Amino acid sequence: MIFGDLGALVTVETIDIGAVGGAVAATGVCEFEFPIVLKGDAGATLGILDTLNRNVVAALEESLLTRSGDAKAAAETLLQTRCGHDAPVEWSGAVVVVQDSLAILEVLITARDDTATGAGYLVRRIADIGLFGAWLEGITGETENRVELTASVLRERPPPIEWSGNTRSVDTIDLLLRLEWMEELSTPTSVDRLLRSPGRVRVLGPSGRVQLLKGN
Amino acid sequence: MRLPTPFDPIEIGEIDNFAFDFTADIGAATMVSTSWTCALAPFQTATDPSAQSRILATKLATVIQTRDPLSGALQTRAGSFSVASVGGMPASAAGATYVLEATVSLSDGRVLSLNSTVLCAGA
Repeated sequence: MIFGDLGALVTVETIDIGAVGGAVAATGVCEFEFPIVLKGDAGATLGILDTLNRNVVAALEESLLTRSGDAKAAAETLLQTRCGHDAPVEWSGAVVVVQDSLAILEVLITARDDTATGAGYLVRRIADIGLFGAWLEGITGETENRVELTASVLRERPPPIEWSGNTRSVDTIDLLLRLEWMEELSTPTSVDRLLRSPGRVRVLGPSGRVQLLKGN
Repeated sequence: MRLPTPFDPIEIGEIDNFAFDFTADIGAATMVSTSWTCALAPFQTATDPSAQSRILATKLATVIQTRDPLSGALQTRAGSFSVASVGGMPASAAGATYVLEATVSLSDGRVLSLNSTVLCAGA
């Protein structure tokens, strides 16, 4: 992986994708760009979110699809990238040392799924990213609810960034990485104590007027 | 809306999470807040002078872990859930049927409610 200067787009040339949630074992190669997030920008709660190319996700998913042949597994794939000065970048088990960056970037991309495989992978990955929580904590000063970050990417107009219920608009040049926090995965509930709404279909009933059918 | 399926019975003194899954109702909105009520169903001999206090805590969740009662295995589910920690039923409530209702306020202004019953079993 080659990282440029801060503010510049970063090109990742090769990504080795190891076992993903036990469902995918493949090696993928894709090329894309993603933004650098600058830590500690004065006055900025979330630092600088720079350009994130829409092709990042598309290329990754396509690569995963191509390599794994398993659309579902690919959709469940969670991508984590971490970069810092001389810090290792982890990508689905592949670790590379970052050559040039003062920033820490973590991106988790997942199409959330109810399946145990996808979610299980998510949980395991989340358990590995204490560093990311510390990073965001340093930026925002908040410590609660920093368990999970999902990046549902790319909007033409920057959406507000949400952090523990607080939203903040971030000025960006182009596209933006949307950060969305989820609550802790610590609400175990028995399946017998979880009731599902059947959905609400509100259909107007008859007028109530009794209509007599006259028989011949 | 009353759901026809009751919750799994709760024992006296037991505390557990109960959840309603509003996923099918949410649409493009998001959950903003939730509240729960707990009351005894009418026409019962068992008593609970403070039924509402059986709601110990409430929270919104977009991910919960369901626990298989047989194997104990946890499975993560994504959706729109209202979860409450319920319990501490007194001995006087043995055999009573409680009505648990969750109300969820949504970002689009809707306010949805689901309720169901739970039997308080003797320990």
